[in-house]
Formats: sequence, C-alpha cells, structure tokens
Amino acid sequence: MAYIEFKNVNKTYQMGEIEIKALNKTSFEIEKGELVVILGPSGAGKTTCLNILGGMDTVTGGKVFVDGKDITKYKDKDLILYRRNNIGFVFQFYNLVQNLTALENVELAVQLCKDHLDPKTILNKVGLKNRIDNFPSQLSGGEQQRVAIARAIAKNPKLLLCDEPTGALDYKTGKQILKLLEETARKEKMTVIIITHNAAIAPMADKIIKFKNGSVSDVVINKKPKSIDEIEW
Amino acid sequence: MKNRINTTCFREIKSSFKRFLSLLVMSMLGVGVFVGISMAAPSMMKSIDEYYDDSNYYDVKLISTLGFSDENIEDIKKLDSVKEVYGSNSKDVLLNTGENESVVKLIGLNEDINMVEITSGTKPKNNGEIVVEEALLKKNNLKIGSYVSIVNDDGFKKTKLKIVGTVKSPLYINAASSSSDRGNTNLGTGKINYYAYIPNDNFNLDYYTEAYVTVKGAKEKLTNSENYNKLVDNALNEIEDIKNDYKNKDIMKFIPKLITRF
Ligand SMILES: Nc1ncnc2c1ncn2[C@@H]1O[C@H](COP(=O)(O)OP(=O)(O)O)[C@@H](O)[C@H]1O
Ligand SMILES: [Mg+2]
Repeated sequence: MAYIEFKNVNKTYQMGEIEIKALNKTSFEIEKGELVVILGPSGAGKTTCLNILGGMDTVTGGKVFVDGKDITKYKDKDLILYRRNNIGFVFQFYNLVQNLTALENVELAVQLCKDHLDPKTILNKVGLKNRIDNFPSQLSGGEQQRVAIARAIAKNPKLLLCDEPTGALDYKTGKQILKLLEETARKEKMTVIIITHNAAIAPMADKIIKFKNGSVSDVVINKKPKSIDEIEW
Repeated sequence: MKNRINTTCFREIKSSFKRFLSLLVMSMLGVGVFVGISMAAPSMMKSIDEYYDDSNYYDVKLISTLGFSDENIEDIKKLDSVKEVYGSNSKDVLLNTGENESVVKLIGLNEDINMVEITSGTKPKNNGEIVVEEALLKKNNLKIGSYVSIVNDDGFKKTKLKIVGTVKSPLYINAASSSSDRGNTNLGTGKINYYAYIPNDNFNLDYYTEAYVTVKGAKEKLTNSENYNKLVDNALNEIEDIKNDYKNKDIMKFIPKLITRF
C-alpha cells in the first residue's frame, strides 16, 4: 500500500438547490518522500483535494489513507490531532499573524507540537536570519512566504502541503521559494505536495498529477527530476 | 517558550487600547444593567413576602352577608389546611372631621393578624379612641388629640372619638397619599377616602363581618409563587366544601374569596 492513497473520493458542495461536484471519483497514490506537483486549470478541484488531505475538509464519499490510516473515519477531535502532528500547510497568501514577529509566528505554530524543530534554526535555514524580529508588514511577499514555509516545516510534519505557494510572487522570488521546498523534500526526505498552474515547473517533481473537472486525468512519473535551477520559464 | 497566543492577544489589546477599554466598559455596563433588571423582580417579590410575613398577613379573606359567629370560626379552624382563623370587624362610615365629612373604613384593631404599624402616638386603648392615617390628619388640619365623630350610625358603642395616633396598615399597602385607591363603598361618593382603626369592642355587633385565614405552610413559601398558590388553592377547596354544607342547612351564606394577597 502506498503512503498516501485517494480512493474514489467524491466531494460535493450543496449551494442551496445546486450541487457542485468539486471532486468526482478522484484516485491517486503518493509514496513516502516524493516531491509531487499537482497541475490543473482553475476550478479543477486541486485546493479541495489538498484541504481534504490536510484534514481541513471532509469527503462526501470514498476513502483517504495516510500512512495506513483512513482519515475519512476521523472525528473532529482526531482531525485536530492529525493536523497538529502530521501536516504543514503553506497558503498562497501566507496567512501569517500580523501581531507577531517572524520568530513568534513560527513559535506559535510549534508550541503545541511534540517533536518540533527549533524555530530560530529553521528561520536561519530559509535565509531570514536577520529578519526574525520583523513583523509581517515589514517583510516582502517572498520573505513572508518563507516565514510561512518555516512555520510549516518547523512542525516537522509528515506531509508538507503547499497551495500555489508562488502564485503571488514574481519569477525570481518564486524560484527561490521552490528551491527551498525542493531542498526540504530532498534533504529532509519530507513528502511535499505542491499545487501550481505553472506547468513549466513540473519537471522538478518525482510525480506529476494532472487534474481536470474534479478528477485525475493523468499521472506522470518522472524518473529523473531536474533541479529547479535547471528549469527556466 | 512563551505562549504566543497570549502575545498576539496582548499586542492586539495594546494596539487598540481605547477601543478595548470602551468595549470593556460597555460590556460591564451592559452586564450590570442586565443583572439589575433580572434581579429587580425577585427582590421585589422577596421584600413584599417579608413584609407580609412580618405583619402576619392573611392568605384567604372570607366575607359573609350574615357575618360569622364564633361557631363558624371554629368550624373553619378545624380544616386540615387551615392554620388559624381570625374574626374581624369593619364598617364604612361617614366621619365628621370638623369642617367636612369623609368616607372612612373603620377596622377593628387585631393584635395577631394583618398587624398594623403605629407610626406616631399610641394604640387606641378604649372605645372612645381611634388611630387614623397620616393623610387624614394633614388634609383636615387635625392633630393627635383632636376629636372626630361617626355620623348617624348605631353600629358603634361610642361615636365621638379622640385621635390618639397614626397608623399604617398592610391591607392598604399602596395607599400612600390621600388620592390613592382604598376601595369602594355605598356611602357618599362611593369611594373610600381613608381607613382608620378602632378597638373591636366598639363595634356594636354580635358577629364578625369578615374572617381572615392563614394557611398551613404558606408563610414559608414565597407569596404568589407557584407553591404558595397551590397551598392556598387547596385551602380554598376545603373552605368551599363547608360553605356548601352551610348552604344546604340554610344556616349561613358566605363567599370565600381568595383575595390573593394583591
Ligand atoms: N466552500 C465551497 N463551497 C462551494 N463550492 C466550492 C467550495 N470550495 C470549492 N468549491 C467549488 O469546487 C470546485 C473546485 O474548487 P477548488 O478545489 O478550489 O479548485 P482549484 O483547482 O482551482 O483549487 C470549484 O468549482 C469551486 O467553485
Ligand atoms: Mg485553488
């Protein structure tokens, strides 16, 4: 059995009279330590899929296995623990707490985790050594996203989920962020899933999952992933 | 490592301290007002209950067209639910207060039930004495020591009465000024102007005009609470039964009337 398995997952949103099928019989597998890129047009169900995997949303049908456990059976309380101990999440718009400095934002995230990493060390690693006492409003977009990544990986999660992490960044900064994620995946052997609509960065992944209209249209396994440094777009 | 939830809360407060302070004051005021409002009714109920308990106020008042004999009173006293029965007299009269006449309800002074408060002077000690409302004195320019007389009534042994004091009665708890309602009568304008107390012996009667009943266990209950009303209803049913007995024997007719205490 693979490390992560989506089996015929359905997700419908009831909007009054209308039913919206966000996921329709979605199935895929991800192995431990893989760097995965999820591609697909807007509205294809990528975010919905990642939210379910992150324990932030529930399925309408089907099963989701993570490390052998069926997370669709989890109650609210189990999901809280699952999110706390297994998941690191990076959002498109950073979602930092504005009242806390970079360091404090990371500390906030790890204060409930058991096996977390040292916040200062992680911030050094993402290249923010001199900015740890700055508030988010004093940081650029790329720097804020690096704080968000530091916050996610400081929890030492089993899964690092990134929903369009470079969507709001320029080319150069976006590349730096992807580099950071790639390093995390390769060096720390963390399972990293990145959503993007930029097909050009797909070659950096071990596996590319393509979404279309709520289901997986194609899965490509990349035997020789390129380093992000070799990719231009 | 510090709890960063506290850090963010603290900074949030610090950065908008004026807003925080006004919200705090507003919610304190709101809570205060709400507590005040929600406590007002129970505390009013409680203070009226204490007042009634202190003055041994009645639970049921009985009125009869033919009056009550001592025998009738004894019969009612025997009922299971009844604690005590007090015969009492009262009569509405025209009282000459010097320049003009007022309609006054004269009530026999009873030591044990509906106990009055003598606010100045003394209790009436003999048939020639009376205690009146403060308002009657003021309205008619009278003083303690002045005389009033009952107009044209042979129901009393003495009709020329000396005012020896002023009185407050729990029967007229809302009669604070001379214009307050004290009930109706068939004399004068039809409105009772004042009440006054005289010794029971001054009534030239061989029966009681009304009987006041206290109900067993009622004093411990809060007046007009559900439990209180249950007890009193129960007593009323028993009294109703004797009333029907009397009616069949055609001895006496009376109306038990629950004057629930308000
Ligand atoms: N909370 C929601 N309520 C209703 N519809 C939703 C909700 N979230 C997503 N959807 C719908 O589900 C579909 C998939 O959305 P999403 O997973 O966000 O797509 P994307 O691949 O762009 O991330 C879209 O049609 C979207 O409108
Ligand atoms: Mg999305």
